[in-house]
Amino acid sequence: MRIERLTVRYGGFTAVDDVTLDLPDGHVVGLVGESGSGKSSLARAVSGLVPYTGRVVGAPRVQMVFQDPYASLDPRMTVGETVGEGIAKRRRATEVPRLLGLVHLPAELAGRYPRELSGGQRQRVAIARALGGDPGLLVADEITGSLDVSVQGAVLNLVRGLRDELGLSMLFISHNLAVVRYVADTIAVMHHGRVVEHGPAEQVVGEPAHDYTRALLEAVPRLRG
Amino acid sequence: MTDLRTDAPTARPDRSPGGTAARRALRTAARRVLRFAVSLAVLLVASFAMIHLIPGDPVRASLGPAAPAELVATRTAALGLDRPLPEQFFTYLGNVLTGDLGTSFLTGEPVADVIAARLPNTLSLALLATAVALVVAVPLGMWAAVRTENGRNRGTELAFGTVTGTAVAVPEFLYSIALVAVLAVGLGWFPPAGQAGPATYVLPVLALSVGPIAMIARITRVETLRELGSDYVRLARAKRLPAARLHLRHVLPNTLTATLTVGGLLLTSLIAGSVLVEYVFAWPGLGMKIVESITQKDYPVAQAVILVYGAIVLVVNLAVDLVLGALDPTSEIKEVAA
Amino acid sequence: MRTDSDARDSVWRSPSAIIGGVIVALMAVLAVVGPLIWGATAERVDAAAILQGSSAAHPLGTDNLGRDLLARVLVAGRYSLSLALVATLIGAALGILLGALPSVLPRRAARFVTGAVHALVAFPGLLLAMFTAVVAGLGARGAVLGIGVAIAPGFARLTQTLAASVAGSDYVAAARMLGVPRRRVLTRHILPNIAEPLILNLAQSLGGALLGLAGMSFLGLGVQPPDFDWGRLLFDGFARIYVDPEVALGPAAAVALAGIGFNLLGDTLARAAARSSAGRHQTDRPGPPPAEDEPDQDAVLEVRDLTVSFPGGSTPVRGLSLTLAPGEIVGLVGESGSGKSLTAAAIGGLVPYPGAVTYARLRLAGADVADLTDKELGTALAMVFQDPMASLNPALRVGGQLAEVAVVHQGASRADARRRAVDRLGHVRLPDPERHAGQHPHELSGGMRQRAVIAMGLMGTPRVVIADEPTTALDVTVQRQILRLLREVVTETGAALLFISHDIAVVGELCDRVVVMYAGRVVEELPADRLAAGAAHPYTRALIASLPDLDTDRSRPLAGIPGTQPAPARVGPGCAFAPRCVLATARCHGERPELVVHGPRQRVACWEVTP
Repeated sequence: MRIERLTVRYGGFTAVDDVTLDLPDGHVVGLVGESGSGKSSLARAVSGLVPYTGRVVGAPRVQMVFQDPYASLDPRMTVGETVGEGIAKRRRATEVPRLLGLVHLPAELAGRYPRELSGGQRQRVAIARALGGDPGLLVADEITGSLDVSVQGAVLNLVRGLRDELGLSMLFISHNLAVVRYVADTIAVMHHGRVVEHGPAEQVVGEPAHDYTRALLEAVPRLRG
Repeated sequence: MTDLRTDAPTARPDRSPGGTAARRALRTAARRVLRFAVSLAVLLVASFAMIHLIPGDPVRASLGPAAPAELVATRTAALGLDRPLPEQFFTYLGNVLTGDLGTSFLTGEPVADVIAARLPNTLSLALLATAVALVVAVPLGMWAAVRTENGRNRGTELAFGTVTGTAVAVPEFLYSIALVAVLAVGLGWFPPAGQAGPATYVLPVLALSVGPIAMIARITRVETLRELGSDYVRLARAKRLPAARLHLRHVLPNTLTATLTVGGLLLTSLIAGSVLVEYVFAWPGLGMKIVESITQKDYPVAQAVILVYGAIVLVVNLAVDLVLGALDPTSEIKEVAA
Repeated sequence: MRTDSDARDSVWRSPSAIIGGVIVALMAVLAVVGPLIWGATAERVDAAAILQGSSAAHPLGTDNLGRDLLARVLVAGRYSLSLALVATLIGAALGILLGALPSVLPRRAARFVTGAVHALVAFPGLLLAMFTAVVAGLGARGAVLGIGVAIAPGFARLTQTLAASVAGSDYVAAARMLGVPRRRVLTRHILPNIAEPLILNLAQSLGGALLGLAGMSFLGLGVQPPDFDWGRLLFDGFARIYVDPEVALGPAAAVALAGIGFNLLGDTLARAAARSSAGRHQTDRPGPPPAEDEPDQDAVLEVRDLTVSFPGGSTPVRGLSLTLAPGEIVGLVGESGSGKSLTAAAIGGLVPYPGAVTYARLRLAGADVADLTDKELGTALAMVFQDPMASLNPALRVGGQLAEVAVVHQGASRADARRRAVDRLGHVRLPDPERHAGQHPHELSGGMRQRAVIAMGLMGTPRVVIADEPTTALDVTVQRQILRLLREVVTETGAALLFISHDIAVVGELCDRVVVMYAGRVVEELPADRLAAGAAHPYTRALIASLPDLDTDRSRPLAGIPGTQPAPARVGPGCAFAPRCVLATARCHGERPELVVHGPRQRVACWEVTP
């Protein structure tokens, strides 16, 4: 899979500027950048939610998981209805429990409404819904951005598990370099709408080639001692 | 929940600090003027179409079934109603733009003269009522907000809500009737009708401003409460600023945008409300005229008065937009958010 | 904690709801039974009693045919209400259609419809109604159509806004990506989520339609004889107002009552729909006894047994104690709902009503906070909040907001205060301070605004700075700069900094000492450089373990903490963390551990660490 010369414009403003990016099968590609870098616009373009020029090659059935699990689930639908949305009716009864199992949620949750779930559970439901679309590429846009740290870890483990077990290809977006490093095989750094660096995760973190990547790395807070 | 970290795809291209603010304001103003022009064009078409939308023959309807056919025919020809529609429209357009609003079916007077004589009476009434409403309502609303912040003084909140809720719900013509019955006919303090000197203004202005006072006070309260909960007020409180300074210097300016928007919109609804009030007080304004013309089927007058009313509404809205745009450079963002 | 349905019930028990409900119910009853009971009386012509004023036989007088006006008012209810109902339904149907149109039309046509609706909404309803009535002809039909047309734009606008917001939501985007057909998105997601506000608006519009129709009939443009509604009766009565004012009274009261009833009920419906689950009734809670020991003279901020509670048994901060030495940076760390921000608010005296704050001791700069004047507090305590956009008043210039403190508390002249403001802005390394002082906050970037807020705190002589998530809204590179600035401020002024954050890595990097909160209590206190190796409380350890950093082993799963933090009203008698703790024993569930010393400068509240 490959993003070729993708550009997103809003009026006179270029949010994503001629980005080309390889998305190898079965890999997690991490995308980091600060606000205004264009990473969310790129995610939405790849998911077909905003118009763009350029091409997204060989990425069938793109599904997306959004940042805010409180806004991304229809408050009037049960978990089961949400997860079963893209699935043929006759397969729903077997598929919904399977999908909930994949994200480590008990099947009994299918009858609940989103307001009865915690933030972490909601985000799992959103991931299960995306998996129901049998994605060739899963786009995860800041999916741990509104979760507490103690919940974030479990969601990140889940993301890695899905790649290992299902061979899922993923575009994983975050402002947090440490989070991206943990889940991604390769890391692309975005700045002002362009990808300024892309390489294997350890290499980008260990031997950054671009000044901006270095600045980002230096800014990551670390525990002392 | 808003996220402040990620780049929202709706990010405005020119929200960078400094620089393009003046240009942006100008562009916004231009867009508003354009919107005004389009609305005005639609209004002209609508007022032209009004006569043609009346089922049957408007001249016949106006003159009554007993009128002789020749009279109807001459009147129709005199009005140009026998011409092809496009021609009629351009004639109408030309006439309106040169200030010719036609002649009354009934009196033969030029409609423009009638309007010129009556418009000032209506405008003075509406403007006075708006001024009274703003002067009374803004302090009232702020006071109520400060007293009831975060649910303190439940009693005040209830009383304020019930009184303003009731006042908003009673239409201005009922206030007019009540005022006439009690203060004019019953007590004889004010003249019951007509326009002659300051005393005759009191009751109509009062009747017209009660509803808007309640309305604006409610909105001011809600806006003030919202501002009182914001971080900059928390910070001002942490700085231990005196209450008067906090409320007047910090909170008031931020509530004015919303208050003035509503005030501006209320002015237009006041102009409409004045129709009924004028009717009750036999006020020689446009409102009386439009009611007369509609009941008497004097279509050219009705058509012209509706056109003038519509134009006033559009002008007021444009003015409110422009003034707000100049006052508050972020108003457009709020408008989008609203 | 009170539940949602409780709050809804309390809305329905308010006087306005009851009055509104009763009036509307009476109106409905009147519409059904009015004509059945008084129908004959209302039509009985009595030549002997023409145009009478009020009397015992005819409390509201009679009309020009001697018919009893009270009976006519009671009978007219049905017609008035039915016409209003029809007009509302016409308006709603028209409006919803118009509002839904843009979502099926091609882009250009959709924009035109949206623009037209936008323009029409600004038009007074009465003008639209009159226009329509002229075209449709005088009489009830014209008036009903007119009022319907007048109501429609409001409905259209509401439908558009609601549909646009639902259509733009993430869950609709997700459904589209799953290939859910357009029609199904409409019936499954959009309609159910916009139905409730639309129905609400329908109820509110009914009152408006009733008043509008009354107005039209009152002007003689609505219902025509021999039919009569309230407006028509008012029209007839008004002609006689100079002689018998009471004959106008009946219909006027009926119209007013109906208007008030529907409006109050509409308000109630709207409030019930929007109600949050906030509790209402104040409970008195005795504060802890004043601390008996001597206050810590070295501390610049000393908090002892601080508790913040809200009515309904919710206590987000429980018996918190905290001491800050001059020049010390203390991090207060916890997840959302741990009570850390309310702690900051309580120290600053900013807990919103109806929250109640109690403490055994709260001393700032060597004096009890209660004894400090506003001037002393306003200059000795500086606060920085999370969102720099919201922390500055959008209507005032940056320089003026800073200068204010000096003018109000220090009696400086405006010019002096402004000079000082520019100086302080330069001090926090805001580029070109002179120019930025003259600008409004929206002209500054997020990082610049946060600098300005910090500069504002430096206008006085701060002894304590409380920063509540000051960098959470900022990018990491900007965060780094703000953290450095805060440290410089502390070094230079000797003030103590209480730094509140959810991010234990940021806290660990910036602070000297870290205080970890969980469910309203401090569970551990330790030097920041011991966080990585010396944290003792299972919660602190789990928090650190679940945070990936740039050296985390990628081949091993991250730690997480199962379950969630209990809500402030649901904290049990034992250790609040016990339900999520791998080490928890029966004792942990039943008995709460106190914060006790555990090694140098470290205190922990855990039975398993310090039995």
